[in-house]
Amino acid sequence: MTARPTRAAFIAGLLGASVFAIASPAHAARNAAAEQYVQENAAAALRTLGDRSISSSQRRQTFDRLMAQFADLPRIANFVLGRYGAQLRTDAALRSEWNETFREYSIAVYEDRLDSYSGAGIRVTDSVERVAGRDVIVSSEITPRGGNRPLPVQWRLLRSGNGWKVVDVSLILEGNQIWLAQQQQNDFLAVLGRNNGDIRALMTNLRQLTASMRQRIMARNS
Amino acid sequence: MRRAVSILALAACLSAPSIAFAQEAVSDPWEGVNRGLFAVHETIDQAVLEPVARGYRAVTPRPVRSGVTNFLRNLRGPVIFANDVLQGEFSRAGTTAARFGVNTTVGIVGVFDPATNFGLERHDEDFGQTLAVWGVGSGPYLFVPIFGPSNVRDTTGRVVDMVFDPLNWARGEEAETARIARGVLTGVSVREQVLETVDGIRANSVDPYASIRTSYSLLRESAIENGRTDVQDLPEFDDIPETPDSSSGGGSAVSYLPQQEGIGLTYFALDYVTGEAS
Repeated sequence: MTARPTRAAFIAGLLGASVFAIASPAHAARNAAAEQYVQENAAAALRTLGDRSISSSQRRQTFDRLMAQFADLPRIANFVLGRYGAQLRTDAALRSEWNETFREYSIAVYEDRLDSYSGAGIRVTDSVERVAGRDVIVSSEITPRGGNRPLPVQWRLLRSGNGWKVVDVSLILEGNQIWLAQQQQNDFLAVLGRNNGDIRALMTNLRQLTASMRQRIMARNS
Repeated sequence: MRRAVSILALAACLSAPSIAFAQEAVSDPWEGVNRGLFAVHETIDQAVLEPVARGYRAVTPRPVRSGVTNFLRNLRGPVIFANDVLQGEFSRAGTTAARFGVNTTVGIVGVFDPATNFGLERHDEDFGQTLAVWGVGSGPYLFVPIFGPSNVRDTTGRVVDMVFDPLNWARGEEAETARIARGVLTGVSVREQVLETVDGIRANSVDPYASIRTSYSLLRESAIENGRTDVQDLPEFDDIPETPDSSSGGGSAVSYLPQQEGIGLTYFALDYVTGEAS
């Protein structure tokens, strides 16, 4: 049997709906600065990967620099460790080592995976503020060379200090969305859960993967 | 959340702690067995499935493969329609019915997809998603060789979807042959579509089993929500203190007990989400 809603519950619901109605436009606002940031930096990264006029090592250096500017890698490095990130707060050496290992691994993954999109075009289509002026999700479409169907990609940006930085990227596959930092976090948590939270053991795995990815990228570019 | 779900459930969903979005563990109490079955699957895949998929790609031009994919997707129309209705998504049910009608006729038994050009966007549903909309939890994670990642709810859903499928209603040797042919063709087509994805997981992942589990879980979650994510549900990315807190002592002596295990792009995550593997 269903209980009748009380008058208080009805008023509370009405109030909640009103608050939501007032709050919604703020969340729905676009952010032109974040959109421009994605448009310029993502286009530069894709252009760099497709630039065959420079040597492989120059390309890598340029891409590394762009990615370090574009993405907040230390913040992502902290996020993907989940609760195990607490270890970094008490161990400066571990934190520095982890940040560097994660940076090398992430850039190799981006370079490896984005290779098929080198020279692709990007078009920002929309944005929505999660927190006004500070946390924005920018929507874009990446069109591969050859005019294949555009891939919808979303970028989550946080504003810290004077600039924007990307903290997560989502792909929309067959209409379903997956955020890559969240995926990576879950993967790392699975590994850490099995090795009693040993971040150094995880780093050893990541260094091996990074080395093999680097070999593959070099072989592909040579 | 579906419109059919009560406002109360919707409110509960929106107010769920954002951390749950990312860190909620996939229930995998049979992980030992699942990992063993995953290893069996990998062996079969590398010996048979992957080479066949690469061969299929080598001998068929892209338009032919697109036609095969369209044809197989169109066959799923009745199953998608039934689940749209069961979820109370009548507008989407109408889109599914119209797509099926247009693609079966104008699209020549589904080989072409003119419906998309008419503004009838494709979506997918299955009974696993319907159960989720009805509030049924996922149950333990399962990895079934050949079929890929799943869970108890979605595996149950697959069995029920077979009942919705008109091809399964027909009797006789020809119908049986058609069912087998469709199953094989679906397997090959789907495996071909995820060749690069699987390569990426094998090359880049610290734990391919966990990556597939994660991807399956996150993509299924998105499918259940019909791809609609409320940005307020996204997790927080905490600020990092500039200097480590030395007062707490070194971190290496702390014992970190095994925690929730993660959930991963997958072989068959993609096809299971789209419901194309059979």
